[in-house]
Amino acid sequence: MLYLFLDIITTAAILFIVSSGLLIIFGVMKIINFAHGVFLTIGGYSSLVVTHFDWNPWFSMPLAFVVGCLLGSVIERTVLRFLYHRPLDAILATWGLGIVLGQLIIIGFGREVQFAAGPVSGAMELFGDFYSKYRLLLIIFSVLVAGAMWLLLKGTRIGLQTRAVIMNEPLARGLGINSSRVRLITFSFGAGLACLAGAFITPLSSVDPNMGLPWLVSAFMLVLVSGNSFLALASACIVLGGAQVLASTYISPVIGGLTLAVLAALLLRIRPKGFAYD
Amino acid sequence: MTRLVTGADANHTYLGLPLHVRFKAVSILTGLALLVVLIGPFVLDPYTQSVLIRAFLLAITALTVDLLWGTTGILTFAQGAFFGIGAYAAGLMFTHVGYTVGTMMLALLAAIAVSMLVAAFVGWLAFWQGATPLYVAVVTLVLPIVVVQLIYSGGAFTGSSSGLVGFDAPSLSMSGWFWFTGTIMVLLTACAWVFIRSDYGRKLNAVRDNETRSRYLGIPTSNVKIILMMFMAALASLAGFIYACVGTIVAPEHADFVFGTELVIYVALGGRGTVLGPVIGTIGLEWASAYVSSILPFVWTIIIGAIFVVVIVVLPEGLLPPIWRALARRLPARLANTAKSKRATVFHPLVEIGAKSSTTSLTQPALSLTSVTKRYGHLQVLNGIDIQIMPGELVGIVGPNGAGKTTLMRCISDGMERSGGTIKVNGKSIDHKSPEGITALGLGRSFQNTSLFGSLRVSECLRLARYPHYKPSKIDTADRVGLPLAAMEVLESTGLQAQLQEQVNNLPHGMKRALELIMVLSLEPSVLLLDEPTAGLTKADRLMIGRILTDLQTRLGLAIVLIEHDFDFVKQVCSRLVVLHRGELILDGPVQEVVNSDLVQEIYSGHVE
Amino acid sequence: MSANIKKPTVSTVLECRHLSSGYDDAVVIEDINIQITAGQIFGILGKNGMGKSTLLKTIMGFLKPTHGEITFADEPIGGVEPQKLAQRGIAYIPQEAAIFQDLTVEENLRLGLSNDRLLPSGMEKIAAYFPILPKRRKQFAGTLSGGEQKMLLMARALMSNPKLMLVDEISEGLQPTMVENITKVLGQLATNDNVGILLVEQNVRFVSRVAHSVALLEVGRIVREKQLDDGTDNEQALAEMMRV
Repeated sequence: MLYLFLDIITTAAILFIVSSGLLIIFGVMKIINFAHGVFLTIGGYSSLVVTHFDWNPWFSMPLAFVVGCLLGSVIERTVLRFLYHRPLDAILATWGLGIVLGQLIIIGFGREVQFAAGPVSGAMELFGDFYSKYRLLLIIFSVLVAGAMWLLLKGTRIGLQTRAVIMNEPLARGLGINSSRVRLITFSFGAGLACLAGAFITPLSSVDPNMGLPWLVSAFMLVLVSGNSFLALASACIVLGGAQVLASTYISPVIGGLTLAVLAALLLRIRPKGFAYD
Repeated sequence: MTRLVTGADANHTYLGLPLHVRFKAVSILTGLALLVVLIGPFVLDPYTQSVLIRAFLLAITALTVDLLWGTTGILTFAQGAFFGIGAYAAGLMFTHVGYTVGTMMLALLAAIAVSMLVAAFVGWLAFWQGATPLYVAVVTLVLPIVVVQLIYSGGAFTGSSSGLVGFDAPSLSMSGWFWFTGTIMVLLTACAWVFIRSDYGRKLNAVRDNETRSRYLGIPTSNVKIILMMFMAALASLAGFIYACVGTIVAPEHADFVFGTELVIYVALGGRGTVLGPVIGTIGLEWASAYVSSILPFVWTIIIGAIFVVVIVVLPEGLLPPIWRALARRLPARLANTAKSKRATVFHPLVEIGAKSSTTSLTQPALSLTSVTKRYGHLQVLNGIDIQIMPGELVGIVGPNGAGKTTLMRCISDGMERSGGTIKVNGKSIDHKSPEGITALGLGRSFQNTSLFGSLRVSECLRLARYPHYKPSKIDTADRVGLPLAAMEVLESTGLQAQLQEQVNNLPHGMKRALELIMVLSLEPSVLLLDEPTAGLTKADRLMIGRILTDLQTRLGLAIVLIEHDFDFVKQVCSRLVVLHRGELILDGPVQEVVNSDLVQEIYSGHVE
Repeated sequence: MSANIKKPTVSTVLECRHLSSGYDDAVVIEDINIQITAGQIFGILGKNGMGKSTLLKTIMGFLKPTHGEITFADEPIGGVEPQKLAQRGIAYIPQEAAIFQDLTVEENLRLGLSNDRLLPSGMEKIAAYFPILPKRRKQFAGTLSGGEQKMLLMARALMSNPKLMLVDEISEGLQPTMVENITKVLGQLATNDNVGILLVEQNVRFVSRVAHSVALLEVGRIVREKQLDDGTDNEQALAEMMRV
């Protein structure tokens, strides 16, 4: 029972980390970044690089974040900027970018599945049972990420401006906020967060050129049911993530794999706002 | 000359020529293409033939994506899944039961039936009133994932991740398959090409360009999309089935969403909405990919991906259309002109067939509202509106901003909008009917921001407005269309009759408004709802609209309700005025009385409390 | 009656010459010519749909003029982006959706500033005009009453020390006492801070008490103009002008 509970909480935590980057981008720019999966992958490969050079495994996280931010800002300025009034085309364009980046990874690192060293390994004893230490660590990470986002959005001026742009962009512009700059910062940050998430999840399994793909769809669905709100995202991660774990455990792992997406699609049909309150 | 296209009556007709004469160009090109297919196996090596066979089948599938996305505006990643369903139907049947002509027919039937059922479900899920295009894309993304997961969970039965291999299948030679797939591909492309130029194709374009306006013209857009989805699923499924028969391999890669996205990429690169673009693009890219990817395996994907991104950002219409236009400019003038001339539609007054029973009586209100309310959460926007409007009345609704005027209009024209109360059009309650359903009761609505189809021509818009009254052909475009008297009169008096070939986007604002009015009148409404009909019009245009409306009211007995801010216009035209303020009806009476009342003066020139 | 209004100084803050604009190809305003000097309150009266909001949106850069020029403090601004104009000193108070309902009063006010460090002095300044706002600084703006929300709008505009204010129907739905308050604030802004104010309204009584000059906008064009002098019954005159 405890195992199941921990599975649910850690799965929710992982989903939250993986989806936050996508949510902030969707909230500000109202587009879905289909390159999100590739950013996760890039984060994973950052961990691989750190392992390759025998650096401290903890370093993979800041490295991933920085790489993501840089890449994100380049993409926003060169491609995304022209597609804000065409959100469906933005999905396609980011997917195309994802393909290109994915291929570059294959050229650079090869197709094989590889492993990166995690900062923490082994299992911890909890109430007589053993549970992966790293998975528990991820719970802390997700809380840290949520906390950092909260601080940034509520505590900084740029966070205030971002929230204003999310709520009402024309009004924000009329008050002097440079919404273009906000979009650039948001996309870079969201991309950085996605890469960071990739680095976070790497120690759980392995690194391969397609590792981000399964997460893309889950993140996508979670963002759609969360609207603008991180609180809604957290709720969605717990509820839908929990459903996924339960389905995997009691029905079959394969059914579990599609539980999240199917439930989210049905939920949106019934309640278009999803988990968002208002 | 025999009349091949039947079903016409006195009001809308199609030219009675045999198909091959009417579509001369198409017939010639199709013949040429078939010739090329015929020659193929004699000049191409087996490897190229196999590549092209696969390319032909993918082209058919890309065609279905184009009809859904380019023509009708439904971005879908699911066509790959239907392809996979077809392929697996064949694979599963031939692996576990074995191949005979009987089992093959059974499997094919099953494939098509399953695909169409799944498509109907996906359509129900995706195409509901209020679904955003993003949600539709999401649902079509989820389908391939579900299909693939089901394949994985099937274990040995479905072959799981390795797929099914080496089963017995219809045996044809390479050339045989080449001819078979090539012929189907050419014929389907020709049919699709004719289809998108038909009246039905224009209807799909209308749904793509302005779904709201389409619904208010009585087109049941959700049903149209679901039906299209079902047929496209069947086609994709057929292509997948044949694919399995040719290659005797089926694997999850033939159903996943990466495949579905590849198809979208091919369509985008080839030119969405052009039919020929996606087909040629798919065949070309598949062919190129087979050769290039053996020489430069990784670079090819990068090149395609990069070109795709560039096309989306810079050339959203695709790569081939600009090339064709450049080629077309070099055509000898005579050919170019024949290619360009579209058969102009002739509009004439409706020919009455038999006695037409009037739905309007003189004693029954044309429009009746009882205790209509509308709430957004705690905010009460409309509070107990009661009003009866008789045929032949021209009623103006005035009131300050935020009084609820447009909300009221929305509640009347869309059965799902109001929070409470009853609304009846010509005595029939609107219940929770959709806009297209209420349009069928005799209601026509115009919008504050003129709601039209920018890329269509005036004549195409007018034909569209008549679709509920005659079934649009899937092959042809009507050359004679009957319009109700009211619509004909406005068409002539505004001078729009001389601009039938003009694209709507190029019309001046006043003409756009007039066109919208004509389209609404073409629905033969007995009740007209007009939201700020004079906004943005010059003084002269205002006078003209005023005269038209008065005419409609007095001679044709329409009940007209308009929201207006121009008091001079209201005084000129309306017989009755209703004042809405903070969601309540505070005044209702003859124009002069209401306009001169203290209440109105205070609302419009003093403070409000 | 316009009380205690000193003679405005001469520098021109806003000028529109033959300005036309609209949506798509619908012409909503046509051949607008106005001039506003520093410290002047210019009122534009017009009923709904006559183009008042369109005029303000065009000046603020949300719409591109189809014809004509706009200059702000001697610099042409036709089509310049709204955020740049806000940074240069134009405060725009739109008619709808003018505050962030889900942000606090303080956060709304901060958005009027160019820099958070100016907040304490800004708060002091608005406390003088609207004492209730500092008390509600941590409250969500959406929970304020209609009148308090308008006060918030004015306060936010004040915070930014603008040279020009564009005000769209601020008196709509307000109690008379609140309207009095706003009249006073606008008057003081004009007199003490030399702000040029373009006021767009339907409320004749309000405009007659606060504005120095008034123009009537009808079907997108300015059809009448009037200087308001102290002492005469401006309200009656304007009501006649607006008569439906």
